[in-house]
Amino acid sequence: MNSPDLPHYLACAAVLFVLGLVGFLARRNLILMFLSVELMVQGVALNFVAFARFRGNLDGQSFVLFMLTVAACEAALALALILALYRTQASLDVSLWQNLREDDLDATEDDEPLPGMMPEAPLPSLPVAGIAPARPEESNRV
Amino acid sequence: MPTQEMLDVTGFLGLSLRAGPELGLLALACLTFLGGTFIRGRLLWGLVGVIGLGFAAGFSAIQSGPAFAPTRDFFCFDDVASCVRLIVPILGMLMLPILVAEVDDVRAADIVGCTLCACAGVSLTSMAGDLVLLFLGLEAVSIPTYVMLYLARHDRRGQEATLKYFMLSIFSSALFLFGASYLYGLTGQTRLTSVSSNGLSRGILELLADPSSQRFDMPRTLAIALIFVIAGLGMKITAVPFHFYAPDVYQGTSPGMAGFLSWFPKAAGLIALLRVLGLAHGHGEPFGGMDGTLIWILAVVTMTLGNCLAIWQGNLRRMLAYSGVAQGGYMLASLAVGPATHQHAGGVGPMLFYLAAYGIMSLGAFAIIAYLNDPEMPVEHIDDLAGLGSRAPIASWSLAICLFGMLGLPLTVGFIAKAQVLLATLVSPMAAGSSLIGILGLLIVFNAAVGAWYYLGLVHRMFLRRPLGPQGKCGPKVQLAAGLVCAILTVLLGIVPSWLGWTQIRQGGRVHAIVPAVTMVAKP
Repeated sequence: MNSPDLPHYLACAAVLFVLGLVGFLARRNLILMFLSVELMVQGVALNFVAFARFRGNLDGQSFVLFMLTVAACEAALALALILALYRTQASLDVSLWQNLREDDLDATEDDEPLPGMMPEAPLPSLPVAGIAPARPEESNRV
Repeated sequence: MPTQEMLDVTGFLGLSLRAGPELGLLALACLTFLGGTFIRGRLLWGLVGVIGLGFAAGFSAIQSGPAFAPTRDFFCFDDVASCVRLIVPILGMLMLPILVAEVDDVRAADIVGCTLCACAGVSLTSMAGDLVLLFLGLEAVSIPTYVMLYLARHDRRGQEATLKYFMLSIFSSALFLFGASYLYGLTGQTRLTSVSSNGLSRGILELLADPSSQRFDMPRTLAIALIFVIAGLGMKITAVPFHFYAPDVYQGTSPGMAGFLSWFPKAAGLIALLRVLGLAHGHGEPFGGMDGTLIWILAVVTMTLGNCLAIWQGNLRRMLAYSGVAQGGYMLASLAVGPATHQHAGGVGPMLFYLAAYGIMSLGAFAIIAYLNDPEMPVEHIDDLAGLGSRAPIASWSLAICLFGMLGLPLTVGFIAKAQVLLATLVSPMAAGSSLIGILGLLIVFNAAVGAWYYLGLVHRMFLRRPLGPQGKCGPKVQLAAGLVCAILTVLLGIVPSWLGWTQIRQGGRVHAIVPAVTMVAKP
């Protein structure tokens, strides 16, 4: 077996990048859309590292460090933003956010609801007051 | 390659001194973020921001003098940089009062800090001699913008605008990075261009221009890199296939923030394009004309579609968003002319002039709209401006002057800017396809005429129509003052452009271009 060469790394990076791209365009869950972009960035990072090895200098490696820092910064912002949006809509479905559009365009509607966004059974509620129900406990305590 | 000159202490100190305005702005931003948690107050932090930007502008002005010789390295201190570093703090000083007046005391410090970061980001982009610095500069504009979008307005529409901008912005920066990684792979460097004393170290642009250093299947791989880089930057410039977010985001956010979006990210994108394509360095055509054709197509589509779509808009901010798309198209058209040569001034000087002019006019227009915007009775539809002339004469005249400027009427700075872009396209002898560039000139004239339709429509509503309903109260006076300053600058610089430090280039008795006095273009 030959050891992997530059084209192998590039192909792998391109596959990662395109998977992320397709994921960003096709997904409706906000968090998954963001993670898809992260996947694209990871593909780019692989590109840089592979090229750095091929070129025999560290420019690409140092670029990756900067890139990861910025990506971490964006992740922090993304999670804060998505949390705020979730509080407003109680859903991560991106198709709920289409109030801003051209006047003569209709909203895009999908037939199937977002998987995992089905209404769930209500959470069990505790009695307001009273004696706590007996719970099974271990017979001997150490 | 970061070798001796980076490790050298005096070199490092010198570098810190030269990048002083940007480092200072970033430090002040950190201080503002921190101090804002202890002391609240719009007036205080607004003043801190304006004074900081004033110092940055002054320092940049001193630096652009002859004492600092231009260098091309990790930081690229050339004429483009010194020009942009002067424009950005000045526009930031106009921008800050508009933004600060829109938020409450709690958020004032944060929005000031973010604005300072974004200003530093545009400046850093303009002096980027390395892909790493270019990327960091662009992100230093983008990341504060996400925060500001949410700070300025966070009802449902504001949230939707933030979401749209955020998602598309990180997506586009991933595209840019992919292109950048291939540029690095093709040349083995992240340095864009470098001039060293021994002439041995070379940057991406020099290596790509040199056929002997090509080790890949160059044209195809280079095309991939270029298309991704231009697509990634196109989102920031709101060039047409990538403009879809702009009207939605402008509509959803506050007017002042829309004004911010109309200039700062766009300027960063255009300047980054200038740097990456090597137009700032006058290398001729480093990418074999491929980039010229791409930019030509982008410019034509952007200005034509932007103008045509603006006509149909009923929402005021959507209309101005499409107008901003079209203005971006004019600047791209100027870039399509190509870099400066010995015979021709090139498109870079006119582009920078247009960028400065557009910044003044656009900020003025959005400042007045922010001033007129009453939270109880927002100015959303263009008909909401009806009868404004009698109710608020100063505001409506300022807005009208800024609109005349964007339209390009004589006696405004917009006219000089547009005339220069037109001149650059019409007298360009070296452009890839001269006939193509000539057609570009014709299309600019056609588009200016289309633009008249909707700009004059607004003026018509303000002065020749009666108000349609009850009118809201006007906002803080400081926004009116910012708008008024922009309108006065629009006229003054239209009459005496040299006051901004721009000089005329005369060749054979004819005025070829009015360029920043400090730019390198066309030194015969």
